[in-house]
Amino acid sequence: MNYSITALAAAAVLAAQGALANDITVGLSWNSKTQPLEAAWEDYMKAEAERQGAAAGVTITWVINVADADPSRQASNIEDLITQGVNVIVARAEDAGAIGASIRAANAAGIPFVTFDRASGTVAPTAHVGGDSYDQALTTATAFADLMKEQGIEGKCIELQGALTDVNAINRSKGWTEVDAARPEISTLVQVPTEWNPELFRSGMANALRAHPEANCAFIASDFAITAVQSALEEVDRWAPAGDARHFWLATQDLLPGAVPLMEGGYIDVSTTYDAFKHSEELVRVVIALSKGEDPMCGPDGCLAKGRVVTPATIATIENLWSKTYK
Amino acid sequence: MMRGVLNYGFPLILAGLVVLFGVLSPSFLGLANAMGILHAMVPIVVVATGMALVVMLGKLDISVGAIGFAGMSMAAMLIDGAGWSPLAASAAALGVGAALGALNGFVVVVLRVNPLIATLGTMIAFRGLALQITDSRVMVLPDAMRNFGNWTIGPVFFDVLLAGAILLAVHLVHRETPFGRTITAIGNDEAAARRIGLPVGRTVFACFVISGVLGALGGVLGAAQVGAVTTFLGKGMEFTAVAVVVVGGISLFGGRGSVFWGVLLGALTFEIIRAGLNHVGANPYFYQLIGGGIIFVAMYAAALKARETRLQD
Amino acid sequence: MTVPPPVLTMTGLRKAYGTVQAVSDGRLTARAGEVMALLGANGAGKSTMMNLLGGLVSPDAGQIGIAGQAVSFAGPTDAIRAGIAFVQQELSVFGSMTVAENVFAGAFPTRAGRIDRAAMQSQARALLAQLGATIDVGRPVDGLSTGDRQMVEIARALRARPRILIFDEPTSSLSGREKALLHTAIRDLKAQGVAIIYISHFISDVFDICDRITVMRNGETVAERLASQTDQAEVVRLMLGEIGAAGRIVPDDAVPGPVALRVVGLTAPPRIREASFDLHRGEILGIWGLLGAGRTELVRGLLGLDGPVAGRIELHGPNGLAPVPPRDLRAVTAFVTEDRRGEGLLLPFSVSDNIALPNLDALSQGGVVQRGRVRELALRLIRTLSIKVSGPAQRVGTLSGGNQQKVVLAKWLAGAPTILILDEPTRGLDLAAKDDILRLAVDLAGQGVAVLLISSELEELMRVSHRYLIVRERCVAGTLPGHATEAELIAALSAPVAVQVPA
Repeated sequence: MNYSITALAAAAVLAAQGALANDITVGLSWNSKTQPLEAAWEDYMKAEAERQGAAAGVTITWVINVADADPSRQASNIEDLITQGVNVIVARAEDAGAIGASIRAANAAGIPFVTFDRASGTVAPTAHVGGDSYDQALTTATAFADLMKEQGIEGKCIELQGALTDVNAINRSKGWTEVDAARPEISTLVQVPTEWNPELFRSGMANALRAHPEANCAFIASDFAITAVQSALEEVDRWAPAGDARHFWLATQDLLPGAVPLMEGGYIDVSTTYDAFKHSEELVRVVIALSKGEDPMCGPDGCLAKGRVVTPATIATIENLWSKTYK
Repeated sequence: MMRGVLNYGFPLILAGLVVLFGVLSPSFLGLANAMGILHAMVPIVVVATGMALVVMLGKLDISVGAIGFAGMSMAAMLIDGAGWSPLAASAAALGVGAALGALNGFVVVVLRVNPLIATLGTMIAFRGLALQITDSRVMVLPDAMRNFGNWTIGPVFFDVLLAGAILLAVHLVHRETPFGRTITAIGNDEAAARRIGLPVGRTVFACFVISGVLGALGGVLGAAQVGAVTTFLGKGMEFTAVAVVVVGGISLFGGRGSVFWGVLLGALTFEIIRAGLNHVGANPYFYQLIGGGIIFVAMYAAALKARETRLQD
Repeated sequence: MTVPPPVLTMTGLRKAYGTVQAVSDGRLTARAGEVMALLGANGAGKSTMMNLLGGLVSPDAGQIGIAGQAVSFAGPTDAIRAGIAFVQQELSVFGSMTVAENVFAGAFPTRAGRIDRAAMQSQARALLAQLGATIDVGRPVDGLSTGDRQMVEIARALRARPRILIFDEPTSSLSGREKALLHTAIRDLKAQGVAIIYISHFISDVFDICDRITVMRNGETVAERLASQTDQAEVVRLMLGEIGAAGRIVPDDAVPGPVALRVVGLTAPPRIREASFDLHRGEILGIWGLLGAGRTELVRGLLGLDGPVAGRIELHGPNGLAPVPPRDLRAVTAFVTEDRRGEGLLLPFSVSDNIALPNLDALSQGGVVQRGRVRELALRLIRTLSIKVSGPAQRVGTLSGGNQQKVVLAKWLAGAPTILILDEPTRGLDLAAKDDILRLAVDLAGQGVAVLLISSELEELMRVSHRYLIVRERCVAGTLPGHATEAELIAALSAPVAVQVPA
């Protein structure tokens, strides 16, 4: 799926239409809006639209609709946006297959289509903006290896992997493994599949701890179920904050609301955010570029926003951390 | 001698597995691991116990995972939003399980819908309802609940004792009470059971209610171990429960098998395989393949035994 | 010796289902310590009488009295409480449960909520002992023979200490030995004072075990006799009624052609016990026997339609009689049954489509069906069989029953079969259509086809059969010549027959 060619084509269309507008309308189609993450995205998008828009001399007006997790509802919502003649369409797809029809409809109308956070499975959009899960793991792993070096500890880690059908899980494992191979400070004793099931986080961790009593660290592919890992560590009395002799070093991904207090308490040592702010920032940049007829310069997998590394030291002061401020 | 091997072929394979994993990873044979395996089994054992009764009838209830999720979601909302204690909220979850089970029973017995289709529909409905209520959020449970979920008395986990007691109780009811024997009769030949005037409708209804309650209890115990309610709770649990029941030797046609040994052996099989693969650090991509292969061998042994018995007739 | 008063009296019973009068005058009496047989052909009203007795339906008129008291049943539970128990033909046993559990299903003895196994087992043992059966009550029913399972079922019926015990076709799946054991058990029950009603098609069994016989015909009870004061022939006559004069359309002195089919020792227990006969070219062999005797099973077994059979089947070929495998036999045999819809026709299709269907190979060239040939064939057969249609394209579903049956025949005839088997071909047809079909059969025989004809209407058989094949209790008892009288034929059903055994 080569985004750059379609982006250029769309830009050409826009240029042909003489759409070098200063006032643009952006149609935003949410698949659902019930979670704090989704509210955070929208707020950040609006704020960034003002900030970046001012710098670029563009005023952005938003037309927003929500589809209640129904793919056909989303398709008709996007139809509405096309009929209204918005300049750019942004959509977080409920269904990766169904969104293809909407993309085609937008292409036919000459409107650039940006998929946000969830990629399209079939038809290529003009651009895709999402999180860079591979980079997420790279940065955490590197920061973690640095931490081990600084502490003078040889990290013997358990890797808890996500569902192997999920591209994010695969990317994260890839990132971790690459750093593991390159850095002597960390080594992976065992890879445990969890299928994103919290029960398997718990039992998998417990089994790994029994089989490898020498383990002193773990890389957790997402901290959405961190309490499950906590249960397993409590069982062997290794749930303690940094500074305590029993402390078990934890590197996680996402830094979701449930994990924030644990990092603040020193239990989690390193994480890279699933960064709503960075996603929104990148989205607005892409939207403005497209509206000007420019090529947003996305990579082969889209314009991926990198997360930010967070540690107990920096968590108090880091700005725009959605999982801390949105509940 | 062949007969002996066939009769016990399946437990022999299990024992062989334990030995194999033990050799490859000595900590597998430790007490801590044995306790850990039993602890991880608790949610599925409870759910499969309810499923076993329904399967004994010759029917299926594939909504139990969704019931577990719905019940526990309700409990989490009560704890989070209304300040209920975990104990009260868990009791409410069981109540939800009973109500949803009764709904299943109504559809199957009164509306006479095929159980598979009926519970397929309720599975989708219940899960959808629960997702609506919780907005698909992750709900962290109070520490008190998580501590209870992992509470040990000596080396033994409390929830293992609880699950064991429930399994034993249901087994005895099935074997030694008129209600239990009626279940077996219906599973053998429902038309004949009606002909001789057994209370078929009431019995089927009751089994669906029990399945609902135990499904909800499985959800509660599973969430308690993990300390959170996520949208993954109960996902696929119904199919694992059916697999446990079948692997354990309870016939899907109904009327045959032992509740206690069926659920225990079935659940042990799956958990031993998983824990063993964890211990030896198998490549995650091979888990499904190896697990599937072992199940296949065990099932083949069981099928050989079943054929032997039939030929004797 | 004083006769005990009847424990059951059914008098003047009437029951209609919609417009069909199933029972118009049902009478039955049963006495304690006595076995009363209830006999009647299909549709005579036996099942309805039993449904009335079992409380499944209520009578439109008439009375049921138990030990002199008039009763009315609102449902089966009332009947059970009145002391009536059934042993159905279809056994209700639960294979994976033990014998004792089966006997007490629905009425387990309990102690504090738990089943009292000791009491249950000892009581089950006692009940079985009443029947003279020594089955291990702790073993699962799986693996027990049919006879033993029946004992279990009877024991369950006895559990409620019934005054009246009804057996519905108890011996149809039993071996000779098991039958003997059952009859011994029934005699024991008799001695214990139970009133027994015995329904069966096997007349010899009835005379073996029963004290009295009640015969029903066409919804009425036509007779009650003491078994000692009647014989099989009279009973059969009572069951079938007088038969009107038969108009024979086949000459009495027809000379049979050479043997087309020879069957020796055809056996497939318990469906077919021993069947041997010859079938000649150009003859109509009328298969005569009571319902349940095994006529349809015989012809189906001949064609191998119900699984493998033992015995020798020989078909006449270019080199004389040679053994023939069932598949090859089927290829040259046309099998027309009473079930036009189920086994004969595709109702939404046209006449010519139906006729063409089994003969597509012959009607095709290069893999393509030749419409012209199909039409030609259809027209020819329509003419030959006098099928009343507007044209070959008419949908079969719109034809009358008789014409539908002719289309079925046409379908088979297109393939020029060597053997034609007709199993109740005129069932459900009006008189004119019946006549047509019978004449067609005669014509076909005249053309050299060998015909086997099964009919429950003796009159029909007597009109067209060159010879009769007597089937009794799953065996071929022998044959009778075409000039046999009605009396001889009826007698053949019940007594050993002076038969012509195939050479």
